[in-house]
Amino acid sequence: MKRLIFPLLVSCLLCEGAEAHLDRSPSVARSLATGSAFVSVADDASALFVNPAGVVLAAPLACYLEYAEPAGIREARESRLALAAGSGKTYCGLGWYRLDAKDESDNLLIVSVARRLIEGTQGSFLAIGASAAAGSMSRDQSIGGHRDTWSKMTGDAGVIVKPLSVISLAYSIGNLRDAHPDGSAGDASWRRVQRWGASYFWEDRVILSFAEEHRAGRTTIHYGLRVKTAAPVELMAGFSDAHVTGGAHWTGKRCAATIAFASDDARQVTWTGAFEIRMGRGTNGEGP
Amino acid sequence: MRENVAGGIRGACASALAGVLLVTAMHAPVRSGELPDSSLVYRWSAVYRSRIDIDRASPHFPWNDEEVLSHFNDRLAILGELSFEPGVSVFGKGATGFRLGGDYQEEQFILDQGHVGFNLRGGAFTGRLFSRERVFRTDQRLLTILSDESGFVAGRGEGLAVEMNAGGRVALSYIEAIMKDDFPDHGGLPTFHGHGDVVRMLRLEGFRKPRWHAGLTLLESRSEGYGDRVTVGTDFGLRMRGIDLLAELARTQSGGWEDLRERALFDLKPREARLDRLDALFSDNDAFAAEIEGLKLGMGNLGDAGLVPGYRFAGKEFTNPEGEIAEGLSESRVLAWWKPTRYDALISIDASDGVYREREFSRLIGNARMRFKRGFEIGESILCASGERISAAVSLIDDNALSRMVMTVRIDDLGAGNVLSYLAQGTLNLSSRVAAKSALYLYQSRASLYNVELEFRPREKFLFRAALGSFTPQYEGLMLDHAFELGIYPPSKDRFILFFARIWFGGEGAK
Repeated sequence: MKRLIFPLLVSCLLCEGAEAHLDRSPSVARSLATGSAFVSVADDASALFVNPAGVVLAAPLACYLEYAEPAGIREARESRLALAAGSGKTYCGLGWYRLDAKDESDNLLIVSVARRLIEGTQGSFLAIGASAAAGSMSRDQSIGGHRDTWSKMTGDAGVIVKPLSVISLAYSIGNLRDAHPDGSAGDASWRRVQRWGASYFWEDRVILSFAEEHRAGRTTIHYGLRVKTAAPVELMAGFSDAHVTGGAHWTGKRCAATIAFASDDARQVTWTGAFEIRMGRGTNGEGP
Repeated sequence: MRENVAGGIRGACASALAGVLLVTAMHAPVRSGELPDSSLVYRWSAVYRSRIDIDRASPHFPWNDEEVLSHFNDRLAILGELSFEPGVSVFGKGATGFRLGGDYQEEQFILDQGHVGFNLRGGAFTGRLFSRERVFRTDQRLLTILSDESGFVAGRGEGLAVEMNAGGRVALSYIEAIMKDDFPDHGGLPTFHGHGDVVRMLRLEGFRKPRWHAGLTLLESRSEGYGDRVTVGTDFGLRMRGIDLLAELARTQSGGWEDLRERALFDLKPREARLDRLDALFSDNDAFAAEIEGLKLGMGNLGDAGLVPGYRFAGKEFTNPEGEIAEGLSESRVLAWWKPTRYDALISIDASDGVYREREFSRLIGNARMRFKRGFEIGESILCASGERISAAVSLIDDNALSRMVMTVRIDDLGAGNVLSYLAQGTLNLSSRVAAKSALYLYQSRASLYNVELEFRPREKFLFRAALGSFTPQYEGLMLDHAFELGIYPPSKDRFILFFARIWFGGEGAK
């Protein structure tokens, strides 16, 4: 498996960014709810969209579905599907992202591999992950009325380290870029998304998260708070790039559901709903 | 109206906060009742508070790169109380600096509050000469003729309050207060300027609790800016088989008490009233409220259910600024509730319709609240009103020894604008001495605000707080969850850093 992971890690650093709006809504539901401070606490099948290393914390077999209507894009609908499977130290993931808007549609197919390299006492570990993605975008041209399609290959990588039972650190890099396909961004314009973050786990009930994201020459700061209640409901809130976010996450025996929202500058709100089915014994829901 | 009520809420909260500070300050390890027999009991306390604010109003982040205003203020308050054997007590509180919700008297040592009180014949005859104290009573009546929630009575006047109780059957009370200082904001009301304004209230009440009670209230206000008004109110309550029938009637008119002799106290028109036009019974200067409480049905395993029907009227000329009665209202209302046996839950529907300021309305507010084990609670509210889109609110509360988290989401204009407001407030008890608090607030989809606070309480007599944020949470949670009728008013958005310390000393004894 190591033979697979390391070539993927190298390829994601070398390959070109996908020219699409693929990361217009950069967060999965729980990430959105916690202010996008999710890179160090990604622990379910949706982790492959944020930090591929987090897939090792998913259940042995998990299926994740998500739907959102992102603010800021006219008549847009976002869907995500993720499958994660694994045993022992190695996990694999398969993800599909689709954005349907009035005059464009984006698709992204991701294959991900993650592995725990080190496991220590009291839940400490080091995990890495990498993914390869094929993205395509179709857009109606205003001149000529025809529809253009672009396709690109790209790759992501991530690492999570939990040196102590109360602290988690993570870094991820992705090559998706939000370049407009009209060529204005220029071929030489790399727009990697880099995220690093840290989380503090307090009394196994409260998780405070911090993350910094660097994208297209702009750095944004994100704060997140998760509180596990006495009921199997987790309350989430965050502050992402000066905007309030929030949500709630319900965890059942074999399934989980999330509802999340985030506000933006244009007084619009993005709502996201997600559902996950899990099978097998896993660490899902317990945090990294 | 909205501004008045919002001002009232602000004033009430500020007053409540001041009250909490005072009570906390006066806390003493031994209560007076536990002291040995003595002819003189005393207690004293001193509180020192200091506060540094660094405010900034720039919309750009980071918030602390350009401070525009910083100020320091501190305040020392010393209070003492002496109680003598025949039931006489003297209380005084002097302070430097300003008082919350009160007057700005900086760099002076002033008598902030005080009274000389007496309590004779085991409480049958009580009274006090007071200065800047909250002695005004509301008695939880349907018509609040004089409200202690009004900004102008919250520790502003000085005067006399006496009460006599004859054999537990008849009570007579009288309050006269002269507003001493100018009100910076009209006391939260548009009618009073403060300086020299006078409020007098005489109340006579007969009762045999809990069977019946009847009362008469005469309220006179003389205001330099607003003119003289007098309000006459009467109230009646009767309990039969566990059911309470309450009815109150009031009337305002210009002038003082002396002018009452020349006019009728009430001007009812029973011949014009019909079942579907109860408001025709009253004149424009009248206010009326009636309610039936205690209608309850036991449903065995399903729990209990009940109804509270009521009617409320206030004529368009009814002006009672000392209270909290909205004029130009005719409203029929019924509250239906259900409390299941098996669950700690309460479900209610509050339906009303009528006319407010010549505009017809009908409104339905549903509320459900359920509490689970180990401190988890869910509440939902929904408002449906004629001519308006639906508003809905959901609150989740998790409360335990380690932390408390309250999350409230409210959506107004549901189905069209979908205006979202959201508040997440969390308190983490990091240790027995240190607590971290945070609040995130999204105001009507357009303003994102935050607040972070660290509270250090190493000993009972010392408190230190450090806070920063773009707003100070006060009663946003209440507004999101309950204030459907009032709406949500915008929060203060100034960014700030705050350091606050409070030290208090105190003791008591007897001679």
